[in-house]
Amino acid sequence: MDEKLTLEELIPKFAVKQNIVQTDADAFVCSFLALIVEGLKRDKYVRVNGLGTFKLIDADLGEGRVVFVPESSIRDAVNKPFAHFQAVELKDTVRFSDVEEEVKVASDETSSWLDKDETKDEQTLECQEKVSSVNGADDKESQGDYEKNELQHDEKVGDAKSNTHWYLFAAILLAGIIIGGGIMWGILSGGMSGVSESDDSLDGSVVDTAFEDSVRLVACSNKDSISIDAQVHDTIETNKRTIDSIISSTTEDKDEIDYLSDQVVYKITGTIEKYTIKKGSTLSKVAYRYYKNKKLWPYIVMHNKNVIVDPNNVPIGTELSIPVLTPVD
Amino acid sequence: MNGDEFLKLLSEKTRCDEKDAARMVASLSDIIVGGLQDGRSVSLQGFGTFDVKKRLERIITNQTTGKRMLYPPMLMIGFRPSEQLKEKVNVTRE
Repeated sequence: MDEKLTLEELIPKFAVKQNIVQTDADAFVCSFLALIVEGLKRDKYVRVNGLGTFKLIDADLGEGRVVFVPESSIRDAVNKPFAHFQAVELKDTVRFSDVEEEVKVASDETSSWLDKDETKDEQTLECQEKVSSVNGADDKESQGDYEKNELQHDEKVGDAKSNTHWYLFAAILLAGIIIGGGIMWGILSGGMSGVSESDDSLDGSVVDTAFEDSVRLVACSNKDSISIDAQVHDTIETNKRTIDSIISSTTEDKDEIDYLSDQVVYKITGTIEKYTIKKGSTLSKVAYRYYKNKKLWPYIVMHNKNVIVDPNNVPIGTELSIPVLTPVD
Repeated sequence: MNGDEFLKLLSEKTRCDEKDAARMVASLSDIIVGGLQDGRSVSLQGFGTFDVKKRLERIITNQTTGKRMLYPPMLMIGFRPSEQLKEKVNVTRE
């Protein structure tokens, strides 16, 4: 069989099929083709039922271009070997190196393909290039072969993007570590601040409140409360020396408080004194203040069951009775 | 010129009724399509050539939906007008 089906072969076939004389068939085919040309000249558009549509499209150089768009039935008949294939949606991760990729704005895929294949319209190409370059910035799709420059640009953009991404990630990580470290340090030093509050930093304007406490402590431990209390209250503004002596005496007193280990089980055998929760104080701090061991706060809770509702949230002003702890053998 | 008008003019030209013209056009189309299905190109002298091209499979990203579609390979009918047809069509335009 010949590669080409020409009119010489077509007309006899046609004559046999229609059971007519070959000259008639020849004449019919000739007038058929002539009429198409006529129609194109007149309307720039000829539709032949059962075959397709011929169009005369205006091209750039003032020359019309003849385009044929087959009817869908004809198209399907020719495409029969591939008819069972269907378009499928791909996931973003799926990439093929050997398949051409491109970006379309229009969803009418088939007809625009026909147009493009038939006319190779430069405007279409330009349009697509524009689209892809716009698209290149935010979408890392690779484009057609004829857009290699665009593609390289795309990749650069992609690389830059991933680089900045890493910087961002590292910065966030670093910030997280710093903040975490700060919080840890805050917690650790916060536990110690109870000491410094009462022992070291008893000077300046904060003296007042801290004093009263220490004074009370002294008062209670010395069983001499009224006179000393009165004395302190009288002299606290006027006589600094007295205060200083009291400070030294209280600090001495506090230093005398022994460290109580948390490895030992204790028994509550009484109350040392009352302690009122102030702003910033915690049960741990109170425990440290009296036992030099902040891990012993549960004993305070145990001793103040009627006052403390929630050990994690003891309101300011709560009056606690500090238990006396004696080791159980 | 739509299909009906084409058939009407064709029947006038060939001096047969419209039904015969439609039947003959259909069988002519059949022969052309049959030739294309056999993988041959159909060359109509003085008019143009129909041929079959295989369009490769390709991935098309729809920008509006962002979907990536894999379109299968397809056999497509192409038409190349002959020089004479081009001349004839463009004569009236100049």
